Amino acid sequence: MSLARAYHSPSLPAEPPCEVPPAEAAPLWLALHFPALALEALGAAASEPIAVTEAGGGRLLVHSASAAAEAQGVVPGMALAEAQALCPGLTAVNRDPEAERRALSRLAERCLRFTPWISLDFPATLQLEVRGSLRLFGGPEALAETACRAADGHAVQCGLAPTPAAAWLMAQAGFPAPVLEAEALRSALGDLPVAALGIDDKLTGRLARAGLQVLRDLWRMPRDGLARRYGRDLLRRLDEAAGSRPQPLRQFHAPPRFRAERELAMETEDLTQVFPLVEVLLAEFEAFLRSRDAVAAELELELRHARAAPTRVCSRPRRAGRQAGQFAALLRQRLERVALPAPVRGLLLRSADLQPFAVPMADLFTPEAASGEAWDELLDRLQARLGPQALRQPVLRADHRPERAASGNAPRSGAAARSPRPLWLLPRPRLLSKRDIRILPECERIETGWWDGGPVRRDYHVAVDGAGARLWIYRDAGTAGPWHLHGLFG
Amino acid sequence: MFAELHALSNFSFLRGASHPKELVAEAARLGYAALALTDECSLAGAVRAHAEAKQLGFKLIIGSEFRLEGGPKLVLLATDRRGYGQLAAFITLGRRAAEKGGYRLLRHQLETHALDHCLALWLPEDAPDAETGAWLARLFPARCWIGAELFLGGEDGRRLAALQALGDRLGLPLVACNDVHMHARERQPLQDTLTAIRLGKPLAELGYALFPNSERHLRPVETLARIYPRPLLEESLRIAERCRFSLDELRYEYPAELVPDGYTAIDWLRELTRQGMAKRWPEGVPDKVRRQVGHELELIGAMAYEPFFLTVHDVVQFARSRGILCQGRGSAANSAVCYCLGITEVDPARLDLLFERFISKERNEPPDIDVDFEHERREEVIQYIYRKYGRHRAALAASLITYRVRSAVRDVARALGFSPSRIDTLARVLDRHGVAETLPERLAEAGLASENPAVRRLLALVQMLVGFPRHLSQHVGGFVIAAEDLSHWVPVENAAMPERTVIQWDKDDLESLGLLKVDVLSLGMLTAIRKALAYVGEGLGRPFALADIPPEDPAVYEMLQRADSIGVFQVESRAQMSMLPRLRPKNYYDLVIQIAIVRPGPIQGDMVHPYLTRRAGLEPVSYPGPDVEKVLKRTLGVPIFQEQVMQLAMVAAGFTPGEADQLRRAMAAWHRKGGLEPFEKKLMDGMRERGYEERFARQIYRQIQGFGEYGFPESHSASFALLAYVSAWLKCHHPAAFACALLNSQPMGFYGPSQLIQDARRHGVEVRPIDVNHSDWDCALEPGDSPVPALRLGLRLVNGFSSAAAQRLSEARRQSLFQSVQDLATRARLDRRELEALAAADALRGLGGHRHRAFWEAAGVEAPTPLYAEPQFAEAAPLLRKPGEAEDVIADYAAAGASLRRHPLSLLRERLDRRGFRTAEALWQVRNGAIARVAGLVVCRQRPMTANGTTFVTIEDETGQINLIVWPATAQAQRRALLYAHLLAVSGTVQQEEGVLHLVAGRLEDIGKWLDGLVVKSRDFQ
Repeated sequence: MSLARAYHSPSLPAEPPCEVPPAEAAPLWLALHFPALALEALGAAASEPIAVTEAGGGRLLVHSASAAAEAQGVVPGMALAEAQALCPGLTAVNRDPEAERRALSRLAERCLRFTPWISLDFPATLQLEVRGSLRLFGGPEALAETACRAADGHAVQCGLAPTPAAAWLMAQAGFPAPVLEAEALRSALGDLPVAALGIDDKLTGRLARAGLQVLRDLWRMPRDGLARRYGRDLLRRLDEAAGSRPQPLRQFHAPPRFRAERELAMETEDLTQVFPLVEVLLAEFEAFLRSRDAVAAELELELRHARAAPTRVCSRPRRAGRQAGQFAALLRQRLERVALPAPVRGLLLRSADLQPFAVPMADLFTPEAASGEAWDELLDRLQARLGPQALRQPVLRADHRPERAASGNAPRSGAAARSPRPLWLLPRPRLLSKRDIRILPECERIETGWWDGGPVRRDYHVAVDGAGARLWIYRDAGTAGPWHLHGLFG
Repeated sequence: MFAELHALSNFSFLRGASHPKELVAEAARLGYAALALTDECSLAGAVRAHAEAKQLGFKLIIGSEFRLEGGPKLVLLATDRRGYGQLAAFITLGRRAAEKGGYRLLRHQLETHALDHCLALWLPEDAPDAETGAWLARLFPARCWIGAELFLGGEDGRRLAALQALGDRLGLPLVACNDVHMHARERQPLQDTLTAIRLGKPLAELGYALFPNSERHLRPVETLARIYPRPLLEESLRIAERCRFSLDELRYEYPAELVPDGYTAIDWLRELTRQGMAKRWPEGVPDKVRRQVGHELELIGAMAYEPFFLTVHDVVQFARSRGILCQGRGSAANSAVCYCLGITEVDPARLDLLFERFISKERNEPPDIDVDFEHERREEVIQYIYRKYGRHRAALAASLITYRVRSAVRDVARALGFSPSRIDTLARVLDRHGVAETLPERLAEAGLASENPAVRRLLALVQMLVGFPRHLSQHVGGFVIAAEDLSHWVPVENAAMPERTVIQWDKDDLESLGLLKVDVLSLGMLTAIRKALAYVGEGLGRPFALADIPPEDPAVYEMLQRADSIGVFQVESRAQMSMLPRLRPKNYYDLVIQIAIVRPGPIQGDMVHPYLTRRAGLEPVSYPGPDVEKVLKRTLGVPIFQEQVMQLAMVAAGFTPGEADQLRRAMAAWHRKGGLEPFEKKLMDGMRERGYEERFARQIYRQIQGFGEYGFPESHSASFALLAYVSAWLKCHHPAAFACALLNSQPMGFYGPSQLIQDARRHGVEVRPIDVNHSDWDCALEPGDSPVPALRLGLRLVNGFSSAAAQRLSEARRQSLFQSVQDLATRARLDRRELEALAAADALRGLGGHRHRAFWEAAGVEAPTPLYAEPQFAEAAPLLRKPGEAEDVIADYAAAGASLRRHPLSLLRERLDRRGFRTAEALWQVRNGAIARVAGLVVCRQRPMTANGTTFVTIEDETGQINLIVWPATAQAQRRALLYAHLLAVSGTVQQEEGVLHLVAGRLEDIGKWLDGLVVKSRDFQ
């Protein structure tokens, strides 16, 4: 295997799962469920007929639909083809789980003011432990209302109950009345359909066929009989809802950010004086990252001036890193090309895009595992010096069109390697002005590319000019049109 | 001058981008001396090319391209009949060694297989291997060439020089050929697209897998003269000169073993016919029939078709000997000889036959005998044929699967890189509307702009691709049987089904070469009739056969006149049902008409109404002349059958029988291809000359057009009417046996089990539920309370239950009845899934109590452990709610599609009554034109293409069925209710006429929620 290296799958450095939140009294959970999160995360307007789709069983299924689409009969779980039959103008968008995660964590940040203890473990839902906040926000109803208002811009349903599972069930069902005591749970939840437990449709169907449709029906059955027939998982979910079994949740923490600033003792235009201070900040930054076992993908340095807008220099290394030296070198190269509008009087260093540190899994038998990093470093340096647009890597593509096949100076594979190609290809063919050329008879006809709007129909020949240079020229296939120069043989 | 020796058509699937016909026509137009069609390891396109070449008087050479495993690539050309046989056998060798669609040939097979009457063109790769060349030169002494193929590749000169040097060294001459993939340059985009489809990648990713230019088309000779040296072009003519084979030389030799020693084929056929005649007419043969038989035998002898009749006779004899019902249909019913041989059952004395339709001397086309067998036992007949003739002599005809709009859109869109959801949308839109003028609007509706260049490219490519062959499949039952090895006659390849082989030609190919095939088809109704006869026999305690059914029973016709025809062959559809009370069939011949008249042909040709008014005596029956009267008398002056149209053309317009048959063929094809115009002139002129009125002539022509491909031949209808009568007789007199037989022959016919069961109950049959202690796999008749037997439903109606499980269940029950669900599970070795299927169908009622309880029990069954045969559990008694009636009814429908409980609509009746809904029965009291409201379960929705977008919906309540007509505008406005409702409330206008009732729908409402509301939360535990 010559897999150069692989990385651990990234997930933000999380605190270890906490069994139950540290609360003196019995916990109380406010579940905020966002039924339209998939749509909202994509910025879809409810007035447009839009369906968010995900693959299922080899087909595209509707995951959720905008109000306009639902008005035409599109419902979640429907095959996209059927939805399009019902609603001809329907726009289908693929689900973006990453965007949903980001949207949910933004919502969580907003809710941190109600309680420090929030969990994102339930799908499209925030679980807030709010027992301690009840008084502050004027009781359960008022708290729930305020929390819903905080989720402005999102459709939200809430449930308030002594267990997260029960709160979630109630939020799903759009249950208005809060349940404060565990003893009241069974009677409050009894009429909920069994599907609310989050079991799959197949099991729901099997239960329904035995006449078991609501939670009350299940509570009435012998526990061992239920477990033997429908699995222990059903019992676990049932118990969690009723609060007779604790459910471990992971706590949400606001993603870490770095921000550090310094005022200069005196204003200066000499960057060499500024830079030591930058290095100090970078050392702080490195310590910050190391303590969190994180790396940064982006870093911004702001130079503040007295009477001018700040100068911003941004550094985006090729590979997320945390070494002060690496960032320092990049920033220094950028700063060298910056013209300052005014003297500098303060510095701000900040970074928002932090990622978990991943140990490169080097292939044991390939000692040059680090060479990829060295190459990246070189590219970083070149780009920092020349600007991001200045660097181009020739990419070879298999295409009969010479300009699409890019440079002809590398060997190509396959059948087309037979015909001659010049070493230098002009960036754009130009009309041939020379008259004193000798055109060789051998013709190469290229007709292709009709499918992407770049069709080519040309007859190529090699020609020799008066100075003995060999030219690669063409004219429109099968015509006696004007000649174009496309390349020069070395 | 030049002859192209290397050309691929679209029968080199996903390589060639032109039809064989296009290649031939273009080669002829360019003045080529000849064209060799050399599809890759295939002769599948050869017949089509041959037909075109024959018409143009152009020389076609038969050959094939091969890529041997490990190289080289070469073309083999047949020089004569023998070489052709060698080539076909070589293709067979490669095809039989690979899965369907592929081939596999090794180098040494080229050495061992006899190919001494074939010529070889070696097509060397970029760096030719001289040793391979020397090897080929040895294998094909003085019959091997190097094919030089130049395509303006930039280094053609160097390539040619290299090949020439190679040829000089090996002593092999060079010949120019062009690896033709398309007839014209314009097909290059299609060829690229085919390449993309073949490689399963979008075009943008194909790179050098595409040809760099479009030079692989048929280039003008002058162009070739600029590319190749003259001797190379001339060499092609010398090769073409040596290839003298034509497909016209193929003569089909029929198996000889069917004629006993001492007889010639015609004598033996004469003898069999004589025997049959004596059996059919014990009291003496009518003169008309005797004359007809004589005439037929004479023609059969003249055309040397005897072995064909003997073969079919042999197959039919075999089926009879095994008690397999069979019946010939189609034009064979026009033959008195077929009737005497027992191949068909239509008495020629009862019909006005048109033998010319069957065999005509001037057409030189083979007769067509289709024989239907019971659908469950046709395989026995097929195995007999394989056994008798051997697999090397018998094979199925191919059925050519071609691109349709839907598949073309999918493949092209994928090649062009459209996203999967776009492809879905496109396929749906294009499939429904075709590539028509309204397409831009349709596409816009689906969110695609038709002026988008990508969409335009797609449309253009789809239009070209539709009709392209995609792969060969097997014909439903057309057998080709040869005297000797079939593979010397046409290549044979593997079908998708194991142990099946197909030839590379389809039925059109066979027909155009004048070759015979025997159609062994399957018909569900024959199965049902055989079973019903057996049940009746069991009830009577003696065998009961078809011959025991009395003819022309008035009770049967009275039943049909009431449109009481569910389950009856051919006249059970909704359209037929609404025609029955109007046409009121009184005898066999009326049934023949009934079957033929409810067809798009007569409907579009405007023949139905005139016939009905004449039949009702509301309009006088008149004829424009005595000749016409003879033809049309039996249908009251209105042409209804295809044969009548042909006869009219003969008597009224002076067509010869052969011309009339060409007219029939043109009629069949004109919807697709046009081409009726030459006949129009001839027909009009002929009628004018004979003094017929312009108006009459016009009308006949319009009717011919209307007939199109949907016209029904009388011979066909006559065969079907026999089965219609038999099934109607069984339904009328033995409704329980009939329903039982239909249920046990499913799937077949127009109606599902639910409708069949309800219909049986309406006819007084006691239907008993599925029960594991009484039911077997099949439905069965049990002694009933009355002399009429009761119908016990079988386990085959249980969704998700297999016949193997049913077998185990029946065996276990033979020892003792089941005591509990666990007992059933243990002894019949049923798993949880099978038990739940039984519970769903309420088949455990006798063991587990109500359905909820049965499910609980089924879910709790444990597999037996080695120690305890029957595991025991001490488990607390469950508190399970008893299902309400509505719940049970709904569950019945979900599990078996039928319920013996009350009809769901009767559960809703009270609510419906309050809102003024009527039952299907009460609808008959509403006067014509009044508004009424009804509700029912949707039984079927149809949108026939003859109805201009009108949808026909049948709904059903507890009293019967109601037929709805939904005009396009209504359908458009209420699409959702129309397409998705299971339970529909409708208000509309009653149309009642001649005993037929329709409701023209105004408002449609999905009231499925009403049923859910019925599932009361009753708290009734047990």
